[in-house]
Amino acid sequence: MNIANKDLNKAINKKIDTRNRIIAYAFLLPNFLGFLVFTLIPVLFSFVLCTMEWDTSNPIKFAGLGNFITMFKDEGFYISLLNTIYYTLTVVPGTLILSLILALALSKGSKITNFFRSLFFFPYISSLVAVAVAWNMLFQPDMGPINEILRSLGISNPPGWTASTVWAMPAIIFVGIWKTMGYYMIIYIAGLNDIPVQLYEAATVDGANSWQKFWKVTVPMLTPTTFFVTIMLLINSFKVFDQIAVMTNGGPGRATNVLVYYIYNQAFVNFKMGYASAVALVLFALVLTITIVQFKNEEKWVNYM
Amino acid sequence: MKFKKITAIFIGLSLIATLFAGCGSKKTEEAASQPEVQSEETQASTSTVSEKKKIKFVCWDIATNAKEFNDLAEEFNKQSDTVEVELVDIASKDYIDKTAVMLTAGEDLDGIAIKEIPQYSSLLMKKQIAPLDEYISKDNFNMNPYGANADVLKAEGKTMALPYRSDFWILYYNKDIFDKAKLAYPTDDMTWEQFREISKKLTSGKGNDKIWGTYFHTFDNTIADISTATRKGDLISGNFGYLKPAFELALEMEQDDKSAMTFAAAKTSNAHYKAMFESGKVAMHVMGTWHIGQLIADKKAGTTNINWGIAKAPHFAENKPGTTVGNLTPVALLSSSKKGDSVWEFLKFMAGEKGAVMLGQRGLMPGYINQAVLDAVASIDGFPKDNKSALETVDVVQQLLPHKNAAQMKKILAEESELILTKAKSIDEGLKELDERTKDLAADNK
Amino acid sequence: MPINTELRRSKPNLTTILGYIGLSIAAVLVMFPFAWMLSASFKPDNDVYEFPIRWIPKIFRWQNYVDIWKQIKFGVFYFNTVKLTVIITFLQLLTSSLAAYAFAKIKFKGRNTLFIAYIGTIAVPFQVYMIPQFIIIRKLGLSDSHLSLILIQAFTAYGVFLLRQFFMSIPEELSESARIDGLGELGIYAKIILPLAKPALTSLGIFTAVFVWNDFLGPLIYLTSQKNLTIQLGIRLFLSDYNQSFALIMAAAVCSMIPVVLIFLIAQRFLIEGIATTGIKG
Repeated sequence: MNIANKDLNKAINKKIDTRNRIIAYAFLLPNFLGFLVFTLIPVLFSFVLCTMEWDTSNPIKFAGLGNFITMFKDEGFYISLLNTIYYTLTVVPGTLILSLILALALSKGSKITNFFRSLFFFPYISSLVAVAVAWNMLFQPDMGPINEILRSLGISNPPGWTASTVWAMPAIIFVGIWKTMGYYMIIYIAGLNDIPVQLYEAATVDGANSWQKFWKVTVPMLTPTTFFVTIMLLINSFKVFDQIAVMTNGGPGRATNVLVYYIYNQAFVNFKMGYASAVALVLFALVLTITIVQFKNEEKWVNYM
Repeated sequence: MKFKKITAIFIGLSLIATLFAGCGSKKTEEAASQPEVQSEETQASTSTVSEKKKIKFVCWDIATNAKEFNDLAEEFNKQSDTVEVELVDIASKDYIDKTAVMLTAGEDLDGIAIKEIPQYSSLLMKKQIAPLDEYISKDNFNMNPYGANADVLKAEGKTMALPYRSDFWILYYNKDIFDKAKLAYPTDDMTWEQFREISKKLTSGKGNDKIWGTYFHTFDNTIADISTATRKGDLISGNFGYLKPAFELALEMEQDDKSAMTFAAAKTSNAHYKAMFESGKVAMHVMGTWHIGQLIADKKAGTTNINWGIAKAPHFAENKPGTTVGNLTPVALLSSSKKGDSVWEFLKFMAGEKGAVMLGQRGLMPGYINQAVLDAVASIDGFPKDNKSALETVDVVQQLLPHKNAAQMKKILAEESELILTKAKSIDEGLKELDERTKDLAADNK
Repeated sequence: MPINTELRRSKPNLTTILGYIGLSIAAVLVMFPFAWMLSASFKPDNDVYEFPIRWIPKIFRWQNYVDIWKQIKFGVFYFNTVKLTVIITFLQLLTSSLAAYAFAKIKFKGRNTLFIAYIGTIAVPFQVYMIPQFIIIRKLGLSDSHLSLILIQAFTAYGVFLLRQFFMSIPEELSESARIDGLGELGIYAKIILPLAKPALTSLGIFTAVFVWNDFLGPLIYLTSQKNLTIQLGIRLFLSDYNQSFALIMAAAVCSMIPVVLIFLIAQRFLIEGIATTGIKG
């Protein structure tokens, strides 16, 4: 490519750029408008509230960094932050691995796989209010079936589950993985079926075994899916709320009090909207940092072929 | 280039957001200054319009567990020529959160039933309810039948709500279980020590046939209330040492005597006092007066055939029988309403004598108490007539008094009680932690 | 080659059997709570709390399944939930796929930043911005209407994110060759990408439908009158400080799961119709 050509290319590129931009904006518009009005603006408003004091009724007062200072001094904040991290660090890898294993086992269509797939998807579609009650009954420490089984296996002093400060979180984690595993299995199945067969054929021709094919074809081709699954799992784990609200109310004591539960209480029990927003901003910053790191990784990884 | 554009966009959006914030605060300022405007407007409109004025009143569960709201509204609409009330029904589990959001957004609501004192306290703090004195003096409304409860709902000398219901703890017992154990029925003068002894004797069986002497429900303050009745302390001012006898009693009964289901078991199996008692698994338990209405209704409906009686709640030896803890359900006028006069008409009806008699007929304890009301309760079909004296009280201590930290204190109490009752902390450790957290809270919210 | 295919056919047989045994055990564990739900839904309310659990009810109370339609307006709640689910899912698929196409297949300035802004909002808990959102809805005069829920749930960043990830894995050559054939962006979107993205669209469809079907906090905030409520709010009506009817809750939950299961059974056919099965050369 010589210099003259380069200039010409630049001009053409610029033209394509403008055209692209117009098309892109047209494609984005319907979604973006709704997103802007009903999500982005409320979100930005809540960020503004971080520096304010507002009880949802009386006039808003400016508080500067007051909310953040209170937060860093509040023991409740640290407890819920640590609980959130505990939950995230176990649920994310747990769900990721289990859903990938299920997806690999059930990615092909047949009557048997369809049947199993439906079973594993069941928890995801169930109403949490109802299954939380069911799980609480199964986890019942004295006479519940789970502990009965554990006792019959020779464990004389089985855990107290949701009634114990140590075991309540594992119970919540267990239910968390149980509930969403099926959904991410579906995402992975969709991802697996998007990998062109030709790649596997080519690998077979090159004499690769199943293990090598998994690492050389499946894993790299699944990167966009894995990226998506990881980010969504991370975000949803950081935002875990429903299970806790229906299973333990953050207890016993504060053993399962997580950030969003803490935020919700600050906002709707104590009516400290500004403070709740400040905690949410910390949550947001955490998630965003992880997302950007992952995003940069993805750009390195993703194979545009 | 790119960076500039992004900043421009961001600044633009932030501007929108700040505008938005401006609107928000303006709206609330308006709301705060409304009471003055309000009365003029209502006067103007009542003189010109002859048709009924419509008001919206928020309350809970009118279809399932609180049908009395419906009865009251229907009866009121029949009797009133000037006002028509429309009920806004919200599930009781979500009542506090949902009403808070509605009020913040400025939904046009006029009156509100308040579930508990913490909610009342936050409405007060947020200036979302308006004083009623003007109407009370205009009508010469008699506040005496409310007794001391009228003062509980005063703030800075002004009456902010009427005590619509006033429930308190009494003892319910299953006569058949007592007969079988050949024990005399509980009497009004039972002490907590006697309660413990009798519970132990009444406990029998295993597994699904287990009969418990008593049952402590998993309310946030079930156990704390036992000590609160002594007036040695309260849930707001700290120094929680006074709660020790209550927790000792509960733990001894749950862990040593095994005459009451443990807190952990009750919580995890989602046990509910109504099912426990009605299915004959519990010999006696202390519960709010609303339970009378439930038992009568369920027996009529045939879902239980329990043979029950009531007595005064047990008390500590140093207190008199009839000392118990109570809980108010206030009703109030919302400060955003422009129809104060009309709302008052309904409040006056539902929390006044007519409403009180109607509540009494459903087996609920109204805030407005006089002889006619007590007769109404005692004369309902299915009420254990021999036990009428159980409803006479000597001293009803309010579970929680209105305070700006009431909602948070209730949450903290719930958390620490849970730790004590699941034995994650000793009683002393738990109560010390409660003291400390109360101190922190007071410092934060100065 | 023949040796290879034979190996493939014979060798997995044993592992397949072992695999299915493992899957069966896992499936039983996964279905455990549903067995309890089903059993409780046929019990008289006061028997639900019995321990040890009686898996086959002492008394079968079929009446529970009648009561839920009588005690609350379950029929109305059902209809509302179906209506909201269908409309929101359709709008979500349409607008998200367009936006995702722009993010995945068109290069334009500010693309990454805008995308991060999208993902960023996913990270903010709804509990924090629901009040400002409610104020906007209220200013538009839409509170206590189904339109309010449709507007807030049909344009989520989540759908855009999911579809973008899938669109990115569709080989660039496909759209390039279509471009050379003179197809515009809208044509590529409709004729090339959408048919290939069936699995992704199906997953998003399922996700949105299930989310709307089971959502609780959104309807709680936005819907008030009985005529507008959804199933999940209806179920909550059986739960209060004064009473709790777990038998009825379970019966309602079982009834509410049936259509979702059916949708899944129908939709799962599309999940495996990816590039791999449509046979388009990459």
